[in-house]
Parts: sequence; C-alpha cells; structure tokens
Amino acid sequence: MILPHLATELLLQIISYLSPSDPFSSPEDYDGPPPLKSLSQTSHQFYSLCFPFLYSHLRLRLSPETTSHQLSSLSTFLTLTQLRAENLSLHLAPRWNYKSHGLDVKKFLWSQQVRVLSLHASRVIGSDGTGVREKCARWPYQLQHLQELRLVTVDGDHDLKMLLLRSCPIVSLVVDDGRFEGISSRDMPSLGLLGTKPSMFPCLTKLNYAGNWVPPERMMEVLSWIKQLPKLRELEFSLISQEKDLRLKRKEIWFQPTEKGLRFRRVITGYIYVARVVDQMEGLKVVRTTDGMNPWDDEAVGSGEACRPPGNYTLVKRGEYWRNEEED
Amino acid sequence: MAVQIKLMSSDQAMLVVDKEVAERSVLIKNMLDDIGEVDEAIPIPNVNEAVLKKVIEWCEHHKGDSPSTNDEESDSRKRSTDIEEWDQKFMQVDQEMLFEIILAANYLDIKPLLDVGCKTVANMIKGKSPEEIRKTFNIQNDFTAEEEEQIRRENEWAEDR
Repeated sequence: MILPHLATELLLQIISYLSPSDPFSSPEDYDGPPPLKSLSQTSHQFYSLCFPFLYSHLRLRLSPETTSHQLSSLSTFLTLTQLRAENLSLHLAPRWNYKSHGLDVKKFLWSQQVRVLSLHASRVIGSDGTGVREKCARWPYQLQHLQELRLVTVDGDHDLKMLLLRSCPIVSLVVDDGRFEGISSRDMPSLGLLGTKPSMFPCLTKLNYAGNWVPPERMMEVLSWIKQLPKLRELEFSLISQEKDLRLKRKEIWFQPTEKGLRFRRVITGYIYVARVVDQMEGLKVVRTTDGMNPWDDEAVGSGEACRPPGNYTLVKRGEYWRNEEED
Repeated sequence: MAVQIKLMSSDQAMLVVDKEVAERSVLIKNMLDDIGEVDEAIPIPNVNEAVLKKVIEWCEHHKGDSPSTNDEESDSRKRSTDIEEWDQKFMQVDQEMLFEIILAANYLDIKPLLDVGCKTVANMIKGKSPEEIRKTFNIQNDFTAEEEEQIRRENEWAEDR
C-alpha cells in the first residue's frame, strides 16, 4: 500500500489537514515549502485533489504595476475552473491605485461574492498613508456577501471607502493596528477605519482590536468610534499583543522613568479608558483582553488602584468579562 | 469482570478483547447493539492480525476518552501538528503499517484514530519540496516540464500554504 493508492476520501481528509487554521487568507509567504502547493506539484492525481483547497484561499498583491489585465486573467481562470474566491487577502502596496484600478478590484470582489476579506497595507512612518482614492460614492457592486473583515495596518481611509462604501454587512471585524513603540505623536499614522462612519457597519457584532504598545490617545479615538457601532456585542482587544512578559515590578512601572516603564503606564491608561467606555455601552455583552498579563488583573503587574476592570462586568474566565444582567 | 468478545482477523487469528475496548469501533458497537450477546468471533475481514492488534492497542489506551464535541473536533482538525505524545509514538511505524491503520480505522469507523493517522501523514508532507514528497511516498511524477511551470504560475494566486 502506498499513499497514491489510498481512497480519494482518505486522501482528501489528509489534504484538509494541510490547510491553515487562520480563517483569513494571508499574503505572507509560508515559512518553508508550502505543503499544499508542494503536494499539488507532485502529480496530476494530487494536483486535482489539492486544487479546490488551494483556491479556497486566494491572495492578490496590488502594486502600482498591477494591471487590469492581471485581475481579468485571474477572474477568467476562476470562471473556467468554476471556482470562487470566497476567502481573499489583498496586499496593498503604497500608491497601489496610482492607475485607478479601485473599481476593477471592487468589481472583482463583488463578482466572487467574497465572504472573508483581509486587507494588508505596509505602514510607512511619516507618510499620511492615505494612498490614491478614486471618486467612488456612486460605484455599484456592493459586497453583500462579506461576513468577516480583517484590516492589517490599514492607515488612511481611501481604500476602505473605495471597497466598502456605502454599507458593509460584516458581522466580525479584526483590526491589527501594528506596533507603536518608537513612533512619535507627530508621525502617528491615522487608523483608516476611523475615517468611516460606524453606521456603515450595521451588522457588526464582534470586533477584535490589537496593537502593540497602543498609545492611550489612539485607544480613546478607537473607543469613541467603537462606541457608536449599533449592534456590537463582543469586544476583544489587546494593547500589548506581542509583548510576552509584563511582570514588571510596581516600582519599575511607576517610579522609574525607563522607556518600557513609561510605555507601560500609557498602556494602563488605555485600559482605564476601555473600562470607562465599555461600562457605558449598554448593548455590549462581552469584553475580552488577550494580553497575557492584563493591568485589570491585580496579580498581574501591580498596576495600582486606578486601573480597575469595568464595574458593570464580571470576570468569567481569564481575561474575559461578561456584562452583569440587569435585575428587574 | 469486564465482558469480553472475540474478533477474527482476515488471516483467521482470534483476538479476545474487552467489549468496552472493542466498542471504540462504531462498526463493532452497532453490530453488538444489533445482535446482542455473542459467543462466536466477530469476523473483521478487511484487517489482518498485525494491524488488528495495533488498532486494539490504540483502543485500549483510549478506552476512557470522552467523545469530543463538534466544536472541539473542528478546532482540533485545524491543527495537524497537534497530536498527543502517546499517539505520535504509536504512529512511529513503517508506511505500510501506517496506511493499513488508516484503512482499518476507516473500515471499523474509529474516527479519532483515523484523524491521528491522517494528521501523521499530513505532518510527513509538511516541510518537504515536491520532489521530497514524491520520494517519501513513492509518487510518480507524470507532469511535463510545461505543465509544472503552468501550475507554478497558477499557484501564485493561491495563498502560500
């Protein structure tokens, strides 16, 4: 018995384990030979078995050199193979839309009935990050099938408005706001999402915001926007997401003017803001922090009396707080 | 004392096993539910003695496992490297035996064992180039050079995985 002689259903099960666990597509290259692609290149048999798995997650790199022809050839390929790119990642290079392909891209997303979309931009410190915007207010091709959206360092709102206006039906939004250590307030990039109206997301129930050393003033802006989301039920956040160990001693945090100590105090302020705002959001049911050691936890870092978890919530499990039921 | 049943492998070997252990197989469990108590050996025509012994060894180790919920199942399906240490050691067998265990688990309807087998093969594929995969699993390359180039071009659109 050799692998190619196994029944097709068993081979398909093996192949299903080669798919990534992340629900979003990624434009990043796999670290090492990508297993599904490698297997698909071994023989005709495995090519046809891997084919639907390979193309269930697509990625497009949009750069100033991207042409309409590239988009239409991908579209033709998908049509000929009767596939649909329901899960797509777009990597947006700086000034990718220099030649005004915004409408082509939106039409492509619309024709594919994309359900899960991941937008990745490269943060350029000192740039306004706004890119090139086409007049898009009257564009048709609403992305009615979009359910989940991830934004990775999408600074500036031009791309979001071009692709998502006028209404975006997502239920889940993931915002990866990148790293902030070493960025001065003068060079602070603007979060593209804040340039859109919260009412543009009438179905959004779950939002995950993550950044690394997020400044408190940015967190306040983000919270002011989140507060206006009409249907939000679940908020997950992380302000020090890539920092593994925050077992700083109290005196290091509060009394020593180390760079890390200063940054940490700002994160504590961010947590204070979150607690204050989520207490006021009546529709919100669950608040979750994914930071390993969160300042709401007394045992975590000794962040002091000032940093308390939201008063209207109860800790259910590590980092997760549920809103108290109101008594009649 | 635990109730025991007899199983007859394809090469006519009789194996006595606790009913609780044998019932990790949905096929055997349904059979026993249908026919009730049975003195005669239950024939397992698709599985030889060596493979059946391995399968029973796995079932004995996992006899106390609680059935996984659908959520856990879909979650664990996503992580192909996530195999318990005991199972990893259990699966350190030659390819012939590995595929026989997968076939037996499929025939006997032991889903967790089938999952472990498939994950083991998936992990053997990871980190290898197409040529290395061909060599490992004895796959015949039936592509022309032009076809290989064409597939590489198409694959550029697919997520790198």
